[in-house]
Amino acid sequence: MMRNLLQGRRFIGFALLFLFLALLPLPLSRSPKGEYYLHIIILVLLYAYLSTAWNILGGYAGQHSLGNGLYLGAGAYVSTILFLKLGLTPWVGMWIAGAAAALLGWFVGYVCFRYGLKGGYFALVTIALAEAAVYLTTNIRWLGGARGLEVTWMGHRPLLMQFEGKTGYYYIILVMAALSILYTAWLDRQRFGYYLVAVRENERAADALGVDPLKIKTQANVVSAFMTGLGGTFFAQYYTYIHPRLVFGEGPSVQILLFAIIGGLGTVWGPAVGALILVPIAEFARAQLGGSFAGAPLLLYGAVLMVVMLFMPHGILGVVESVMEKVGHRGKAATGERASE
Amino acid sequence: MAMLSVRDLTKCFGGLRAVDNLSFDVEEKEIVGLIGPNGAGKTTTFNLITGFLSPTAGEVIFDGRPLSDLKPHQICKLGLARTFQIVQPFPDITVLENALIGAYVRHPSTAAAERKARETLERVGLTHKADELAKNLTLIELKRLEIARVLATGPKMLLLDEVAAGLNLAEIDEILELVRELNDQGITFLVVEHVMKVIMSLSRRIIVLDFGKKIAEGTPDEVSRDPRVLEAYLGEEEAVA
Amino acid sequence: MSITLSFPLLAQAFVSGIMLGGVFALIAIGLTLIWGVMGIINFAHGEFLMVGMYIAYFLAARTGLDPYFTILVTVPALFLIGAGIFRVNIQPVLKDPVMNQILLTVGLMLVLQNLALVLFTATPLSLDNPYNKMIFNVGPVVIPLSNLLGFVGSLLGVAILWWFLRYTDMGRAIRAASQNREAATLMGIDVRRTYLVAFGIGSACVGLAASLMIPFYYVAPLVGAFLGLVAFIVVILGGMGNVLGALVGGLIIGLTETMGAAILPGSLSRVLTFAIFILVLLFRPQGIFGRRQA
Repeated sequence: MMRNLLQGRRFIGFALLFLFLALLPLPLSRSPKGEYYLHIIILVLLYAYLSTAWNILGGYAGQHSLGNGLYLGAGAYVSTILFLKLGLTPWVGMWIAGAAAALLGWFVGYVCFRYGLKGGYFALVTIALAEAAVYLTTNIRWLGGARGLEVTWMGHRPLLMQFEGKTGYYYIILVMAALSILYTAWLDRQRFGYYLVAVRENERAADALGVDPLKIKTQANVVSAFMTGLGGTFFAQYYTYIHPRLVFGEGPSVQILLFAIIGGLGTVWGPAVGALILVPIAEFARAQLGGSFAGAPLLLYGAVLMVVMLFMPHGILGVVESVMEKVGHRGKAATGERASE
Repeated sequence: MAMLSVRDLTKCFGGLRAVDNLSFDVEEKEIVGLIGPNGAGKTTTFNLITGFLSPTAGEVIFDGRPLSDLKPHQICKLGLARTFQIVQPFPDITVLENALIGAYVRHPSTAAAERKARETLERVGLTHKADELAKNLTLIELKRLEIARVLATGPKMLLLDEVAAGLNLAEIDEILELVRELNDQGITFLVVEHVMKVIMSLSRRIIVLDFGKKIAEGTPDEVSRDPRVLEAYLGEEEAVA
Repeated sequence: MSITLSFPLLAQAFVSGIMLGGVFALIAIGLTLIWGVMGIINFAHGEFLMVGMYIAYFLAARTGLDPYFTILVTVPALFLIGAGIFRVNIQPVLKDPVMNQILLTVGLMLVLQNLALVLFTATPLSLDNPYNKMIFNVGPVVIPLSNLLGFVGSLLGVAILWWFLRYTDMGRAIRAASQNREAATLMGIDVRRTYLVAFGIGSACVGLAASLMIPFYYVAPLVGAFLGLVAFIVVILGGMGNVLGALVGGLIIGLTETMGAAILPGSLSRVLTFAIFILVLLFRPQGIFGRRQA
């Protein structure tokens, strides 16, 4: 909770970064190699987005869901079904998907937190729910069963969220990622954001101070689920093919939380930093080692997770913070800065 | 009408009656002390009043409003707040942010809440530590933070749970000073304490519990002379007054 | 869609379920020990089983050793592996928030799973052995010897562990440490060493299960994923730290899997298993035999 993005200089820095990223496709989309780089950046942005969504529940509110894939899948399936069966453009379907995921998130959150599930137990339930979703969708033929669903390719149709080349998708996810970070930065300074942290730090004390833990945790789950659901639609549109294990499985769920943890929980930029560092490395590993080493990214992620937990549990940003603290209290007028609101 | 009214309050844990038909009032602007030997049910009473436990029987009325079925956060919003026997800070955020969370009860906007938070920090003398992470504070600072935080919620009445525990004499005096000031400014207090000096000098009236029952009630003078009270404390180590 | 339920089908499912349940119990018992004693939720528990299975498989396949004799290797090997991993990875983070420990084991799970994928590929391996070809016919029910031996071996393993916890000094130390860490320390129990041993024993149980399973279960990098989750479900269902609970829970889940597969279409039996899990976590998190914690 330090210097905030939404103020003066920092916002300009953010805007410049955004501008830079927005201009990247111009040179890159001209060559296959460039397109490949765009693909990598799209993945980075996608996981930065999904991880930022998770961070609201897991980092800020401290409820470590290990099954956010549930909402990713819900979003992906809802918008895809609406597209395949009703011809509804994903631009609209996306919001319905998000709402469906949010509703699911409300239900799951309310039930879990109402019955006081915390920590490891909550994590276990989220895993079980995601796994159950895998088996459930596998058995429903109408949802494509084990074979999954293919988003019928209809050519370059921007109105249907389908694009030739990467550029179209790039801009969508760039905007989503940027908005998610701006939202988190805004939240960081709002009552809701502080209430999330209060519940994480000491639920009992928060309760005694007028914070409704059940409501706050459920709301966090809903927000996280909603955002993740929207991400699910993008996921489906970009990959054009979804099947149960791909979206509901532990792969996405773990990656989503991983980047937030590695980057720094409960910080605005943590998830993005984590994604930025790890996704390219993992993709590089996957590309170098080829087919039979399909497990390479997850292997890398697992190793990094262990290392982080052992040596820098506050993530990369945590290390940066403590280094900066030691280097010198640059007149911690951070609060002085805040006072000028 | 009393600010706080406890009527026939009872709490059973299985076969154990932790609080047994307890009744008492606290008038507006009073400082009332609640004492008793270890295990007498003082903290349980606090937990019952503030919604952390639900009573087996009896009721609690605050400012004319029955508190049954209300959760702690709702009770806090009504103006009845408490501190904890073992301090419960939010460790990984700053002192200011700790107070901020309390301030949000009455001030939803961050700017207003921050002003209120700074104000309370000043009242308890923690302004110089505003940007320090709570986990780095000393015990007396944490106690002051606990009070600042709960003060920020704009309470009409405060329940203090052994606020003097673990403090040295000078620090105890500081806290006493603070409580008196706040009382002058209009806050009603119900104080649980083991440190006799605190209770005796602060409270206008004292209620004595033993085994969950009220065994005596009166002025500090009356209570310290009551044979039943002395008997209850026999064998109990009294804190040095 | 009509489902033909017949007595033979149900009877087979029932018997298979019981036998499978016994094995589940053995797998879970290691976890309940670790979880109950240390409060560590070891997400890599299933992967330990997988490692054991690969050890047992290669030993049996390459040397022609009788699969059941691999027990002599897998049990000590897994004990050492478990203790080693505990010492190096988990002990350092014991003082950290529980979530960090959990995430550490999640990382370990990913590493083991994907290391196996990289080394062995996803192709499932099946041990060629005489035991799964010897069949008993009890009425309409078919019982391969391998499954029967697996069941009996599991029960023996559970019984031995129960005896150990009850009647040996180390066992009592473990139980004491699980109930009250501080009190145990005050009584002179070296809690750190106890944890180490408990973790080792919990892993050794899985080693035993691995050897018992290779005659009738396939070996693949991802077997641990589901079986590990099953272990969690059994532990929660039976009550954390409770041996009898692990046994009963194992049998229940074994039956759910097989009877569910017989009655419900497709892999919906899995959904049923998870549904039970979630319901228990919500409404009776202490499990069947557990005590409600304050």
